[in-house]
Amino acid sequence: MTTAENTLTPDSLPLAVLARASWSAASDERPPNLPGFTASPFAPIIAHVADLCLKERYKEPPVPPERAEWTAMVLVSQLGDMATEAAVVESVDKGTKASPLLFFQSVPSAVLGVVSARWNLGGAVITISPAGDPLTEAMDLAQLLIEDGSAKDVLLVLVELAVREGLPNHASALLVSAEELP
Amino acid sequence: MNNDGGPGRSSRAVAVTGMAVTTGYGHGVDALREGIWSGEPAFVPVTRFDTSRYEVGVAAQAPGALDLDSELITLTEEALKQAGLSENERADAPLVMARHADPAVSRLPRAEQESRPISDTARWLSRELGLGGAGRTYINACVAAGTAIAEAAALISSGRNDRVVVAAGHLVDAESFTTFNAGKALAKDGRLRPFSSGRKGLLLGDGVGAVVLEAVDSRTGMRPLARLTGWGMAGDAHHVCQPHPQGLGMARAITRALDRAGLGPADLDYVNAHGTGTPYNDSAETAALHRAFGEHAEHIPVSSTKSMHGHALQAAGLVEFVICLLALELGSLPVNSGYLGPDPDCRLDLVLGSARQVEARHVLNLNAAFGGANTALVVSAA
Repeated sequence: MTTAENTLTPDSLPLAVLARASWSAASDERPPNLPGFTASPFAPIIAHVADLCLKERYKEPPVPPERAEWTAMVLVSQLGDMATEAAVVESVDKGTKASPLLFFQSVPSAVLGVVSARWNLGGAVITISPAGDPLTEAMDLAQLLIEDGSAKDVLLVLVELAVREGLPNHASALLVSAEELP
Repeated sequence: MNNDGGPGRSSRAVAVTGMAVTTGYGHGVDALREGIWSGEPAFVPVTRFDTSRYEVGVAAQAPGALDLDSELITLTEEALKQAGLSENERADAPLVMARHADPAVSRLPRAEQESRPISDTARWLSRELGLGGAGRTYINACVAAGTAIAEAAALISSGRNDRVVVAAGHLVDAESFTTFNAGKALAKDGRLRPFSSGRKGLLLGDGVGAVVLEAVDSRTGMRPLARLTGWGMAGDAHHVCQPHPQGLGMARAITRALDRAGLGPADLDYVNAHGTGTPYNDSAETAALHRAFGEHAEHIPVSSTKSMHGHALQAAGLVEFVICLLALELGSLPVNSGYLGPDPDCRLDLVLGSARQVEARHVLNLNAAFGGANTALVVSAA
């Protein structure tokens, strides 16, 4: 779904949502496998929903250089990659040898290297756990980055893995900008 | 907005008014100052957990039993006291954090994990210390603290806040040892040798700390330790866990930070490099410095103090930010320890042998992380 709409935030620049996408384990097909990320669905989901969102805007990679260099990525997750964390903790507690892949897979922002390389995004690479509502926090940070001159466009990816029944793995992505683009 | 990128529409000056830190040298800024400027690394055999199953058993582990939450609250209080904030001024200051997910939460039943988000620590600290609420918790690995400091600066510069507290913490634990051992990233010779021939990898280190940032002249009685004049962030667009070999992202981050500070390479008196002691990082970082500094690249003093306090991961940027403040205060640049000899891929003016006396005015603090993230902070004398 692509919707260009204004998101007004008090005392600040309005941000335009240039593209958006969402994914849920309850209703959507499993994301494509992501080489090197095997212990958890966290990274494949992020790469998939980011791709869907960027494709809505740019059809295919790469993003034009004049925009790519100032497109920041912000990954937002309250709990982070609990599946990979569980794999690390299990290795520690059982004394078993850890997979070498856990070295980078245990870093939640590592997958953003896949997204940025694929789409040639050269802006800030950020991962946060928000204290408040994830979408509100994500939009607030995007606004700050743009106002501050740290970014022109911001790709926001919000993701949570399932921790209980009735709340499946889910993610959404928004590409936001202070500029209204055709 | 600024269509060409670069500093945004408002730009209030940012001062650093409080700092506190615990490292492998022990509790406090005094211990860090004494340790780093002694030139003696803080690496010791790890006693906090059994390391017999790992290829390396040393780290910059602080003496005594440490608890991350206890250190965070003690150090943040110390930084607030040094800043001299009143009760009302504290209540006006949000807390931005940098840390990794707590492994203890992963050991809880799944149903209980939902109520323990990573941002819990910031919420607790803010409440206990009478601060103005929990801000975002940065979890982007080795640039987490650098990014948190950059956000704090942006919050102040943009006029959103008069003051922001940044706290960060990483204590050497079995979980980080497990992943770094699995990745064969630890230096088997027990030394972290940044930019050196024969470098084998990194060593981990404790790092917990807090800094207080404020808008210059936002209150009477302020005693600035230094000014944060530039910050820049950029990505490599290259790889999951390898830096761009030409240092593209880090060079962009440096240029953005210098542009914001209104400085050129020739104005810099020192670079506290990311310098992890891994073959990949140090050659890529050198390429970034050459790309960003041009003809000045081999004339600006550089050291990586990780060679002495180890890699504090999410807190690395905060520990090294404090060392930059100390370098300005002391008029002395810390040594790049562990050096064996030149590497043709690391042509830099490294601070070798002993600390170098320089009345520094502007210094640069660099960090990089998996995912191609890079941060650059310019710290200037008050």
